[in-house]
Amino acid sequence: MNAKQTTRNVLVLLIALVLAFLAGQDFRDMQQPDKIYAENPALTRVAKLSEYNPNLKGTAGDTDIYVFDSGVPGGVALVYGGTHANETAAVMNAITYVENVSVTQGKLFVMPQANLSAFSATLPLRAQMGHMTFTLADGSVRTVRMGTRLANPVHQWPDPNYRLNSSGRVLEHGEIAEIRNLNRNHPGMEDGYLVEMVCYGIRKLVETENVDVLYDGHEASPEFRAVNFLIAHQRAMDLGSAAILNANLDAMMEGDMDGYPFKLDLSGATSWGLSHRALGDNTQAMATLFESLNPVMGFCHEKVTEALVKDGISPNYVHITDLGLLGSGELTDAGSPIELRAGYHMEMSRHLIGALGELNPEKTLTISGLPTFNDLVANGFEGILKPVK
Amino acid sequence: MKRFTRILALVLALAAITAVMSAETAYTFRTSKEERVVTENGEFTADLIVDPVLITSIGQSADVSMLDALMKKVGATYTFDPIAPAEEVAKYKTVIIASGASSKGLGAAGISQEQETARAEAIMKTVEENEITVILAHLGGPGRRGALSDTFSDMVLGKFTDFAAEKEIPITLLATIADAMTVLKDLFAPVAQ
Ligand SMILES: [Zn+2]
Repeated sequence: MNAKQTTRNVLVLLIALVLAFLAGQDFRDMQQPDKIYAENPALTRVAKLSEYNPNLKGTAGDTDIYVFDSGVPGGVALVYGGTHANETAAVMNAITYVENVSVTQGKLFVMPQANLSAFSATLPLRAQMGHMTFTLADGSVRTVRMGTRLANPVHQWPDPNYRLNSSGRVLEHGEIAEIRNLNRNHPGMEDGYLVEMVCYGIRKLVETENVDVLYDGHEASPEFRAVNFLIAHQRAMDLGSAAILNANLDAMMEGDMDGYPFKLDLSGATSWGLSHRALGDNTQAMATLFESLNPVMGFCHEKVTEALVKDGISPNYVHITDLGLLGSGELTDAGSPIELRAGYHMEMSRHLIGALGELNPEKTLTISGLPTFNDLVANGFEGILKPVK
Repeated sequence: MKRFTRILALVLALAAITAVMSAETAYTFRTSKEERVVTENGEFTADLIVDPVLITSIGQSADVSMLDALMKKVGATYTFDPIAPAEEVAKYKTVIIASGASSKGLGAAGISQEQETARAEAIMKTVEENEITVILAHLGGPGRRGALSDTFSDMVLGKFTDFAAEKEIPITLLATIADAMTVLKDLFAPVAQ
């Protein structure tokens, strides 16, 4: 090899290294934990999921749980988001609870990032941005990661070719990656794949803390039949009905005569490994799941920019709606903004908590401090989120 | 009319404003922002309701659970049995049927579509023979008027509004589920004068 060749080779390698370094910044950024405001005076403590499954200690699955304990006996609820880390409205709902809620009777657990590992990567080949930002009144910027549906393969890999998981669901063929999907592996395993261990941690949290109602927040594509549906385990149907009714009565009281587009459906008997089925069957909790409408979850959306995620404005889906091709999840030019979606999650979960005490007075869980739906929609997260130091 | 001597249809049409705008269906919506509760073909009054009252489902969709929540909220006195057989229905004077089919709901109740159809037919016969007042409640709006739901609804009252008009059965249409509160309160829990 002559000197000229060597120089050229070194140069090529250097350029490759520079490009890798620059691209690596994006990947590295995604590994940085989100700063969540934790100065709410009502916050009792921040627990770790590894308290409920010690095998999670030191892993990428050891997520934070915000505990609000009134010290007064009553009902217990778990409100969480981030089962799917790209379903951002559910994450923002949980963050809104963490920052604002206070509890005067009963105990509330809030987990904004249930599948924490999934926040550290975006879906490959989708050109999806990795963060949402909100500029607050004081000029500071709040950043929230937008991850993906599955745990990061960096943390859990390879996917087994065959897995009969704890729920009885067989993961094989096209479904093998679902071993990294938090909402396919409930009730989980104490010592198994990372996501299975996370599932087990949630199950143990629910059991140990005597959780009465659990709320698993999701987002769905316009094509999905169950947009704005509350899916309830059979033991949670009464609770779900009362919550939907109360939410609509509340809306009317506030002058919103259209009410909320919430509908109720029963958890499928064969929804193996999903929270509403597997945690409803295997724990004492009344398990519920709600899906808000996010065009990013579908197949026909435009490039996943921050604007698309935050405003939910998708001309493609407006066109599809106008053609009459959507059975649910219709979109207009007004879009499906993050505040509206998170507001739906907030109203749905708030009223499930309210209905708990209405149906079983000894299980009363009294919360306050959350913004109203109208506040959230009118002021946006720019006006609701608190600055973090 | 001998056949359905005292049949009433109370249709809780949960038509969200999006549905009102929907051009997909040939059905013309009666309710609007201004007129949230519309009654056609007569009137509903509390004296039409004779105790005891049963709530049941035909089709086993989640709607029956929403109806239960509404009735609880207004403080009505009733028995809730979504899978009540015809012999049970015979013990009541007023039966509210939440119609709407759900394969999940049927599955959870361990009932096949055929069995549910047979049960519905038996209930129809029973209410006729015993002159039981029937109130058909449909919640969920046009999204729930799929082929499977319609099979069941057709069996009970055909297409609601057309049938009601044809047979001169009172029908009440509501803009949202919250609007059902006042209507049900007047019928089932009237304030003592
Ligand atoms: Zn999801």
